[in-house]
Order: sequence, then C-alpha cells, then structure tokens
Amino acid sequence: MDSRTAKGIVWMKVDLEKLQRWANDPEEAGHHLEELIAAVSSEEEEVVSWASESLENCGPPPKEKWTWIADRLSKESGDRQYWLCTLAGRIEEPEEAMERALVEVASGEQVAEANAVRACWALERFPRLADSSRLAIQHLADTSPSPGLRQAAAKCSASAG
Amino acid sequence: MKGIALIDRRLIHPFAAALLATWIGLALGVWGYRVTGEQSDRTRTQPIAIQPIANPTTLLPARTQQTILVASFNIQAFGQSKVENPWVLERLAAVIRQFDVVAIQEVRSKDTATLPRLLQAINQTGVQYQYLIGPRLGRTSSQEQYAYVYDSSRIIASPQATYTVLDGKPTGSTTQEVGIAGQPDLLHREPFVARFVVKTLPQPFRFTMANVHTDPDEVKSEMDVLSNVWNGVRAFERLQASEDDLLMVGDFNADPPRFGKLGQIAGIQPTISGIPTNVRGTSLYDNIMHDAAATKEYTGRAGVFSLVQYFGLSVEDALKLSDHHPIWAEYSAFEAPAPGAPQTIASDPYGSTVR
Repeated sequence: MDSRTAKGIVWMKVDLEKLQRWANDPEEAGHHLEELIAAVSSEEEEVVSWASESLENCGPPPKEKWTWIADRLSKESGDRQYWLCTLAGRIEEPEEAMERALVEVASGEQVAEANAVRACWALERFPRLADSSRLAIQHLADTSPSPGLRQAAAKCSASAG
Repeated sequence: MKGIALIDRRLIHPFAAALLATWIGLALGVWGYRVTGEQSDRTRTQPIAIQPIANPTTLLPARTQQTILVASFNIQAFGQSKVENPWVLERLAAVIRQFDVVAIQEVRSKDTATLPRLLQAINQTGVQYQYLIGPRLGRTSSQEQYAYVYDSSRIIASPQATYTVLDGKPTGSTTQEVGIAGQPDLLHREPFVARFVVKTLPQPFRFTMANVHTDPDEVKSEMDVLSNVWNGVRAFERLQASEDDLLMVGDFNADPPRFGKLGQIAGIQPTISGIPTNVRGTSLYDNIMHDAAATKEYTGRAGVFSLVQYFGLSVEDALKLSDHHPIWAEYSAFEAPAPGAPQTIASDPYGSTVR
C-alpha cells in the first residue's frame, strides 16, 4: 500500500484484492477506513465499487477512528464526505466534535445535497443534540432551498425533540 | 389476465401514473431498457468444465414443464473483475442456468458489455437466456443496476413493460418520466419492475416482478416506503395489465420480522424464513414475496441455493462468487384463477357451468 499526504488530502493506493477481502471482513475493513475512504474517489471503477461495498458492509467504525472521521467530515467532499457521514451515523454514542462536524456539513453552502441529507440522517440517529445543533438543523428545515434537505432536517429536528 | 398482449410503454399514460404517484407518495416512471441476448466478440471465454458436487435436484425441485423456478441473486459488486475471472464467471453462469428467471442485484459496471458477457457464459451450453437491465442507481458515483436474466425458451418478457419506480428525482429529460418535482429521494435504489409470462398453454402464469436492494443503513425507513411501492405497483399493474401476481424479490437486508410496514400488508408472504441467505451463514437478507391469496401459483416450495454445497466450495472460495446465496421459489407454469373469480369445476351436458 502506498500512501502520502498532499495539500491536506489523503491519497492512497489500495490493491483490489485487499478491497475484495475487506468487503467480506467487516472487522478488518473497520481498521482500514482511511484507505477505504480514499479509494471511493479512485479513477478505477472496480476500486470504487469494492471500496463502496466494504464501507456498506463494515458497520460502526471502531472508536480509534472517531477523531479522524470528525476531522475529515467537513474537509472532504463528494463520495468521501458521503461515506464519512454514513460512518458517523453508525456511531451509537458520538462525541461533540462529530456532531459539530455533521452540522457543518448539513449547513454547508458548497456541500452536495446528497451529503447534506446524509449528514442530517446521521444526526437523526444521535441520542441527543446540543441546543446549537438543534437550532441550526431547525433553521435548515425552515429555509433550505432543497426540498429533500428541508425534509431530512425536519425529520432530524423532530427526532431531536 | 387474458391474451398475451403485453403492455406497450405508450399505454402507460402519464395521468394514470401521476394519479398513483399522488396516492403512494412516489411516482412511477417508465425507464424502459431494451436488451437482448446479443453477444460481442470480446465476451468470448473458454468453456470450463464445472463439476458441481451436489446434484441440483438435491438443492432444488426437479424442473418440469408444470412449474417454473424464480430466483433472486445478489452478485456482490458484479463488474469487470468477476466477468474477467473465468473461474467466477462460469460458476455464476452455472448457477443461473438452474432457474427460469433470476432477479439480479448489484451489477456495478459502466461497461455495457458486463451483462452480455455473463449471458454468453450462460448460453455456452446451448440454452437461450436473455436479460433486461435497469438504469444505474445510487447516491454516490458507485451506482448499481438491477437485472433480470430469464430462459427465453420458457419465459417471455416484455422490455416495453419494464420500468423503474421513480422516486422523486425526475430528470425532465423525457415525457416518459412522470415524477413529482421536489419529492424527496426516499429510496437509495428504486425498484426495477418487469412483467413476465410463461410459454405454456392453455393458461400461462403471468406475473410482475419488482427487484429490490435496500440500503443497509436505512432498512427501517425503506421498508416502510416499500409498502407504498408494493401497493402502488400492484395497483398500477392491475390498471395497466389486469395483473394481480406481484413478486417483490431481492436483497432486503432484513429478515421477515424486520419488514415493518411491508410485512404488515395483508396477505403478503415471504417465501424464505428461518434460514440464512448470506454465504457466511449468519443472516437472512434475501427474499421472494407475494400475496398468498392472489398468487395461488406458488407451490409452497422455496429455499436457499447454497453455493458452498452446489460447488463443494469453502466459504472463502464461495465468497469469490458472492456474499449472498441465490434464493428461489417455485410457481406453477399455469395461471390459477383470480381470487373470487368464477371457477369452472364441472360442466353439464347442456353447456351450463356449475360453480
């Protein structure tokens, strides 16, 4: 595996055989989330397919990856951000930093609609939200120009009580 | 349903679909995809002798002219690497040849030759399978397609009567899409629907299949939406084709106790229960469902076609084919009378019908 960091974006090359193995070994996949997230934006279709399959099957991320996920959430975009939101939504007892990062994604003006909706979906699963998060999500539910995001935010807001 | 007239997409009137959309909260569109069993030169592979360990008859009922076998198979991330691996491709082909119609999930390839290459492998033995394939679906760049592969010597499919449930994402690109503008995206991969008829006389079994693959992260909400899809497609099929037999098949990522509102629909019957459908043997994800009152053609036989048993593989090797086993259900090749319809049980010499 080859990895380096350039301009803050993690770039990694993962071989297909490993991705295929991780797709059927959720526990192992959980330890390689950095590689999997990097792989979903590969130019090779098979790499993207198997990385997506691994991320779909890997379940909740291990605790040692939570800080990394929270840190990358608002820095990434596209499919990487979508999957980071999905991973965050699987955490049962998330930390505040994760919540703040998700609210930032949901409210971001440059964020793809699918990712903002997924961030709301993740927040909806949290047992409770801070007042500031609730206000931000309610604001989205009231004012977002996207009907899908308005609905996702409203659902999240209702769930947060 | 009488006659063999299959619906033309022009007959799926936008008004009728929009009416249903209002009712079910989803819009039904007709993204028809015409597909044939054409094969290209690049799809040629060398025949490989596969020697299954288990005789199919130990895993499946004997195939007869009186019945058909309908299957569902999630071929995990089916794309270039599987198509180009003869060991995998030939085994997938051998599996599909066991059934009359197979609903496939997880075709993941932009290469339009992917499914034709599988078809060529299937037809290498002289059988005549064809396929229907839906649009690429999904919220990320890794999108999936549903497909149906069927034995054209036994089954007729109408490409003009296939459509994808349109889930609030109208592109506005064609007049055949009738989505509700602004309707939120409720399903990750909208079901792909197709209508089939068995080539038999005098009263062939006709049925509609809805191919499903839920998002494992959104099973609960998608199951509730699928109950609307069930009701909507059923009403649409009754209206457009007088068709009452709907089989909802695929990878639900849930066992029947977790079917939510879908499982609460009166009469709905999952044919697979109490047995794992994944290769690791831990979970029941896949099912074939129908309305027990309407689909009297179901013989009561259904099951899991174990890749491990059929090929005598280790779990690790079976996972090279897929993380799911195919599942199957058996139906009569002949149409049963619709519930409540007059049934002729005897005739008197004067020609009057005794009910």
